[in-house]
Amino acid sequence: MKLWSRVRSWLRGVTRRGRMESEMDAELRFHIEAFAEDLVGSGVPREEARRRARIEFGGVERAKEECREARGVNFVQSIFQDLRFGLRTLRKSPGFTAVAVLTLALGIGANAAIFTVINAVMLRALPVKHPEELVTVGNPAKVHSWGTGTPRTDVFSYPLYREVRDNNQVFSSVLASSNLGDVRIAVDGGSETARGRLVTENYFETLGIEALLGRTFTTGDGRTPGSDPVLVISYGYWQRRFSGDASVIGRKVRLNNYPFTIIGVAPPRFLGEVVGDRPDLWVPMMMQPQLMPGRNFLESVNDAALLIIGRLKPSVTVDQARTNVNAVVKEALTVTLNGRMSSDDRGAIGGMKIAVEVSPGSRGLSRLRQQFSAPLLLLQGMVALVLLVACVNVANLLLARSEARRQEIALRLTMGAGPGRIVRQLLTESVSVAFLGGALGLLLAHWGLAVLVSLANTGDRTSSSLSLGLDWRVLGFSAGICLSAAVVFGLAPALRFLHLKPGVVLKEGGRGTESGVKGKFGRVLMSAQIALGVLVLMTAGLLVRSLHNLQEADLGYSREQLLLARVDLLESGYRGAAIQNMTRELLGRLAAVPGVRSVTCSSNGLFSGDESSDLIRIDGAASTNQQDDVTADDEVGPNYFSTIGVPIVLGREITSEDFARAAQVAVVNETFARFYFGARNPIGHKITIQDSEHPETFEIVGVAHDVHDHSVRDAVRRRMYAPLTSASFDDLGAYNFEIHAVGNPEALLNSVRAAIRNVNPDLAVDNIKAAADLVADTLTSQEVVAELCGLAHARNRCADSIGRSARGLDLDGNPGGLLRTGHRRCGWNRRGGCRYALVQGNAIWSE
Amino acid sequence: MDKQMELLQGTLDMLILKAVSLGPLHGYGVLLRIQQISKDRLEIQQGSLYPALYRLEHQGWITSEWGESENKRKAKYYRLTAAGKRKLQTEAEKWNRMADVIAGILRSTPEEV
Repeated sequence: MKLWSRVRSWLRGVTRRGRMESEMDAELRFHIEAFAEDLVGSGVPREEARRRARIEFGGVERAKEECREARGVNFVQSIFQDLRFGLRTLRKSPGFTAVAVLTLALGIGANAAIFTVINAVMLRALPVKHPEELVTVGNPAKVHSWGTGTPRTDVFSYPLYREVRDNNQVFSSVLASSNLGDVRIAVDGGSETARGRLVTENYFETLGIEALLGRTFTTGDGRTPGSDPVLVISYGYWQRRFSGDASVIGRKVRLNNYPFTIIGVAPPRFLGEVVGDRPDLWVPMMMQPQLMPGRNFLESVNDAALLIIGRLKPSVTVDQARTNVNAVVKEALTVTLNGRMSSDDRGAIGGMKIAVEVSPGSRGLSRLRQQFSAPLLLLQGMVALVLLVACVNVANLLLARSEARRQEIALRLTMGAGPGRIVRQLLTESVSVAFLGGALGLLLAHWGLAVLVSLANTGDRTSSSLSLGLDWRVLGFSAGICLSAAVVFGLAPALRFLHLKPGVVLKEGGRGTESGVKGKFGRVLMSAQIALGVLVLMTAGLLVRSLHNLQEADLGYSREQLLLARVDLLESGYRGAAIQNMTRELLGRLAAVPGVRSVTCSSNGLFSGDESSDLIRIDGAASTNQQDDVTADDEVGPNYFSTIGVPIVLGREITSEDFARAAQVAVVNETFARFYFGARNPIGHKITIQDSEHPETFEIVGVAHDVHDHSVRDAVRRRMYAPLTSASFDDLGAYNFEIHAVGNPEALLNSVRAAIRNVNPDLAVDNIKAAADLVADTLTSQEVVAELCGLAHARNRCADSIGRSARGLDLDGNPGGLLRTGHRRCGWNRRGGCRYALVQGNAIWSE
Repeated sequence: MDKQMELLQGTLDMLILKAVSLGPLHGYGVLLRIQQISKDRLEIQQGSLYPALYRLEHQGWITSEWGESENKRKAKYYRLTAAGKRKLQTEAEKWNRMADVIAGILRSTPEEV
């Protein structure tokens, strides 16, 4: 109470200074006049009364000053005085001020920029209702994963989600969502793409998001598959595509050629539950089969793509939720859903340790967080070093300047200024410089970030979707570093004046002691500056060099003449033998395009983000370690190796003759040959794909040179190539065509596109791109990050992960974001759980 | 009229508190009331009155608000707060004890020492 009244009166004095002054004036005037009145009343003449009243009162100004002091206003006054004086001094030496402010602006700007990203990726809570009540179930980084195979617990199938939703006791509400990637949207005829996310009907309700316009989904929108073709669009998309037109509600559009109705617009602050993604639209989960014709995931326990977010019931802890969710998932996989699984899956589930990740979810899901945390912190460390260099620079400048100011300071000391007062004055100057630098730095950070983000992503749009706004954290951080910088560069030069002997200095006159200008202190500063500068330069140099190395890396084949195209036949309506026939026809048509040397196809393609793997046996014998039975594989068309340019080091490649007689032959890479056969000749040995229902055996006919087909940086994995046989045509329905051009592949872009369109104008062609571009794309964001991780000695995951359990090997560092159409990455598995489609850097192997 | 005595150091605050405890007063009124109660035996520096008032207000013993004076002019009136009342009480007790002790010392005779 007492303290409060003091603070209040002080604040009044400081903030409403003008009013306090005029009140004080009025009060004192009233006193003197009243006194004079009384004197007049007792018979003194008016003039005389006034004079006497003023004299008896004493010094009015002194009284006022004492009043101000009584309020504690003077301290603040003197700070303003310091500030005014400081700014005046700075204005008098514009050269020094400009250099110091600019130097600091660069340092502080870099720090603020990186911190803004750290804030957005790692710190900020989702703008939803009570984010602290949310928990994520599954691996929150696998926001783009779609996989087919043995049921998983890092991403979930829809039936498994349903079990969690209906049987848990810890959540008041549970949502699930998955990546839809780019969807084709037709508004008024023309077709374009938009980014979608597939969400359960309780999505908005669980997050507590109300529509800005129209409505969000209700439980009524999710009753039966296909019954509610509605969508909610994001604020950004509404503004961008529909110019914020309110009549958008009720508008009919076509998504992937299926009619939908727009029912709502999300509020501007809501960018979805995935940090770094910014979906344009949300579609009810129940519409999945309509959006991906030919692929129904709603009843399949083998297709996993969902991440789950639950809102905790009151007073339930995350630990309790983890225990309960694990129990529910275990029950579901071993009992409730067990009947729907193949015998192989049941066996796999039986031997699997079920441990579902359940973590606090206030910050939402993010692929970026896991991937970028280490490099971001490292970057922050580096820019902090840069700022330190800047501070040392400015300290040096100040030092040089302070020598010139010895006269002035000495004079002030002799006139009675205390040393504390002098240091305070100098520090005030430093703080002003720092904050000027900080303000400019924030501007630089703002522009710099835009450039940074556009550099960091080429094909991949994810990183540009972070919400990189200023908030109290960024501002507080910037103010903090301004102050610390001011102390770092300002204190040492200021303290030097404490030992100043005014008499001596003043006697020296204008001559100064130039010999001692820098002195020992100056030399220390100089060395620190050079050392720090060299450190920063070296780090940057290393980074640039290794990036250059990666870009020039030998893939094992010439990427310069390859053009890659991907066609999704299943989505285009083809089924069964028609897929096979169409693929043959496309191969023929493409081979006939002038400028094409040869053409082939494969199921995974090059640098596509797709990978697959299988459990195998060599000559019928299993290894002691199940891990050793896993191999990466791919299914390839005729003349795959000669078309790509991969040398066959032993035996022969898979030819059209093999296809004609449906030969069960395989080519393996050198790593494979070395791993299973050592020095022995692998030709003629048999590889059997382990599958109790459809075992297949291939005879090795050739060994191909090791090549980098999905990542420049990772070690080449053991891999077998089998013919893309008729049996597999039905399963996948989407193929990568590799076209070897005679000259520049870019020149073929249009004729290849035209050739495909000539076959069938409605074919879904995802992407036609030169292989060199595709490889370069993987280098930009992901490899920079990997490189930074490497520098931070944080590259543990890439190496370790290869050796993890047979089920769910994480292959980090896979090309991310190359092919945006997440859902098309999936293929049906013909072998009861042997292939995983890998999307956006979230590669998963399984047996 | 007796000769005026100079105020003892540190007692002005107490006198002001006492003066306003009898009813709200403006600064000039405080001066008049102290003079009236002391029957003009205390000399108060008029200029020192206001810093004291500001200090007391800053500490929360008194509050002020603008009102109208007897001759219809705007004046700032000071009033004792609850905290000020307690403060005045303890200060008065302290003063009385001190005065007793001092008086006792001054009354002492050589035999008592």
